Amino acid sequence: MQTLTPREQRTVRLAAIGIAVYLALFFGFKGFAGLGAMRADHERLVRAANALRSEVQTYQTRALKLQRLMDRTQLDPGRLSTNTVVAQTSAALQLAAQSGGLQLGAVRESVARSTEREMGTIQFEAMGQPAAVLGFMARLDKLGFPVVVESVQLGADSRGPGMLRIHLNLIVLDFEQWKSRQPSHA
Amino acid sequence: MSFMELFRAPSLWVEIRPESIHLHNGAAGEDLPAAWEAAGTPDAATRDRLLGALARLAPRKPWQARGTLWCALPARGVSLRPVSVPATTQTDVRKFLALQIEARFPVPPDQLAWGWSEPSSGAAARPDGLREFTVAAIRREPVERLAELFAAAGFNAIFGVAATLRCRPLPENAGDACSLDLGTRSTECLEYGNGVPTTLRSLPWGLGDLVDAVAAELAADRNEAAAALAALARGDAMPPSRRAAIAGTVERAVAVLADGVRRPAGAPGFSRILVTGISPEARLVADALAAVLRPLAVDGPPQGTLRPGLTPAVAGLRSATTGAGSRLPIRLAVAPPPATADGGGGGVPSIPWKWVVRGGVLVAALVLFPYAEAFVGRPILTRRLAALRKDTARLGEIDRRLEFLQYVTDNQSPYIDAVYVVANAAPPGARIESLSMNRRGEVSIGGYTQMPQQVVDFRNKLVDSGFFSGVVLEEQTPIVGGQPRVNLRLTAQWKGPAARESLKLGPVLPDPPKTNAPATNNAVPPTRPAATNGPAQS
Repeated sequence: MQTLTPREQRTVRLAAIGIAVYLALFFGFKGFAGLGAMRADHERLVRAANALRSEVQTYQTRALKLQRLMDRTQLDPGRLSTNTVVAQTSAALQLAAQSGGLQLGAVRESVARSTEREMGTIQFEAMGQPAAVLGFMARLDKLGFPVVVESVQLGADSRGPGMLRIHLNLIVLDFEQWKSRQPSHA
Repeated sequence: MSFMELFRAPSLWVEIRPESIHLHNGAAGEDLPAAWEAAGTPDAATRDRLLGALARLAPRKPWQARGTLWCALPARGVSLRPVSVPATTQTDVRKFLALQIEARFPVPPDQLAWGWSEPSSGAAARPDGLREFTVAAIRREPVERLAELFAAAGFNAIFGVAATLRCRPLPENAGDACSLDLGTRSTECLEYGNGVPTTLRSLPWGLGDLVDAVAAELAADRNEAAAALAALARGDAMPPSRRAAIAGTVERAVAVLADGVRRPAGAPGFSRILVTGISPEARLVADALAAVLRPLAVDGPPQGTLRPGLTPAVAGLRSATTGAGSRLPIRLAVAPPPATADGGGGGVPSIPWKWVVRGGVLVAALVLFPYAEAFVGRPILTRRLAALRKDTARLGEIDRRLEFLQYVTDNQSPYIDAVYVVANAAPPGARIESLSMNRRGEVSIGGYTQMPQQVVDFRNKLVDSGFFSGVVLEEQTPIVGGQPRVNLRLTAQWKGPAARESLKLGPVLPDPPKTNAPATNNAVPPTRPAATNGPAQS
C-alpha cells in the first residue's frame, strides 16, 4: 500500500474535517428542525390541553348542580332502562301507594306518541284516608323515576265516610330520546 | 503571539529575601531592594517599588483574568517539621495534619499559613500504618499582607518556601545533605535526610560578615573590601599576595559558617552541601567551605552571570510551577486548598475541567430543555389529553342529564299546595266533593256549603291566598229540601312559579322515607324484569 506523504495526510485530514463539519451542520439543522417541529407540536398539544382543562373546569359547577338534583329527586338518569322504565315506575307507584296505606284501584298504561319524548302514560287509581292520599301525592316527585303528573282528580269515595279516591294521570319521560327542550311554565 | 495568549492571564515568579525582592516573568526580571516593617510587611517605599515592578513585568489587559504570582518566602519565621498521620484517604489528610499542628506547634493552625509535602508520594504507608509528611508553617499575618498587596496589583498569590526550591529534588537514597543560601547577614540552611527536607535554620552569618572580615584584613573600608571580593570571585588579575590574603581571610571567616553546618559528634555527617547565593561571592564561600570541610563535597552555584530576578529560588519556583505534572514542594495556604491527588496541594493551577463540564452540561440543558420537554412530555401530555377528551365526551352527557332532571323538576306541579290552600279556604260545614287539577294549573272544585254567603267567603279566601290568579264561580245552586245547602262549582288557575315563590303555604312536610337510595330506580324490583314497557292493565 502506498504511503501518504505528510502533505497528502494533511489534505486528507482537512478533507475529513470539512466533510465532518458539513455532515454535522446538515444533520444538525435537520435534527434541530425536527426537534423544533416536535416542540411546536408539543406546544399545540399543551394549548389544546389547557383549553380542554378550562372547559372541563366550567362543568364542575354543572356537575354539582346535577348531583344536587339527583339527590333531591332520587333519580339517576344514567341508570334508567328504556325497556323496563314504565314497568318499574308502575311497580314503584303501586309500592308507594300500598306502603302509604292506600288501596289500589285500576292501573292503565299506554304507549306514548312517537313524536313526544315520552315513554308512556300511566293512569292510576287508589283509595284511602285523606292523610294517606296526600302523603302519597307528596311522595310522587321522589319516586326515583322520571314521572310528570299530568293531572290529579280527588273525589269522595262511596265506600265509606272520610275516604278519598285519587285518580292520577302520569307521564313517564324517555331519557334516551331526550334533547334540549324548554321547560314549561307550570 | 497566538490568539489564545491574548486571553491568557500573566504569571510571575517572585522571591522575597530579607534585603531584596526578585521578580521574573519568564523572559525578564528585576531585583528590588527591600525594607520591612516590624509586622513583616514591606514599607511604603518597597511597596511602591514592588507595585511598579509588577506593572512593568506583568501588565494585565482589561479583558484578562487575574494573574498568578508564585511567591517564594524566606526561611525567617518558617518552621519545618516532619509529621506522621494515620494512613487515610486523601481528603482527610489536611484534617489530620491540622490536628498534629495543633498538638506540635505553639500557634493554632488557623493562625498559620501552612502546607505539606509527602516525600514517599503517599501511596505506600509505613509498616506501622503511618504516613510521613513534612509540614511547613509560618504566621499567617505577613503572608496575608503580601497576598493583599499582590491582589491589589491584580494577582492571585501562591506561596512556597524558597529554601525547598533552590535545589532539585534529591533522590531518597541521597543520604543527608544540606543546602545553604547566603544572605547579607544570615544564611538559610535546609537539611535533608535521605532526600527529605527535615530542618530549616537561619544561621547568623552572611556575606556581609565576610566583607567585614576582608575589610579588617585589608584595613580598607567595606566598599573596597566588597570590590576586592568581587574581583576575586570573577578571577580578575591581582597581586598573588593580596589574593592569598583575601583567600585566607575568606577561609577563616567561613569557618564560622562551617561550625554551624557541622553535625554534632556521633551524628552522621552530610554527604553533600549545596551553596547558593545571589552574588558571585557565593562561589568563594563554596570553595572555602570545601577546603574547610574536606573531604565533604561542596557544590557551589553554577558559573555564569546572574540574570536580573532569576535567583536560584525563582528558577526553582518557575521550574516547579510550569510544565505538566510539576508542583510546588510545599504550598503555604491560609485557607484549605483544594485537595489534589499529589497530596501537597502545590500543583500548577489547572483548568477546572469538572466545573467546565458542569457549566457545559448546564448550558446544553438550557438549550435542549424545551426540546427535551417536548420529547419526554409528549406521551404524558397525549395521555392527559386523551383523558381530558374522554371527560369532554362526558360533558355532553352531564348537560343532557342536567337538562332532563331540570325538566322533571320544573314540571312537578304544586298539587299538594293547591290542596292545602283549598282546604284552608273551605268554610266550616262545607264539603268538597271533587277536586281536579292538571299540569297547566287548571283547578276545578265541586262541592256544597250550607249557606250562600259561605260560597262567597270561600271564593274570597281562595283569591286572598295569592295562590290563584283567577277564581271563577261557574255554578252556585241553592238546594231546597230537608237540609238547605248550596251546590257550587269553582274553577281557578294557579299562578306561575315566580309568583308562588314568596308564598308561605303551610307546614313543611317531613321527607318521606326514601324508596330508593342513590340508585332508587333500581331499588324497586321490576314486576316483569324482562318484559317491555308495553301497555298493561289491571
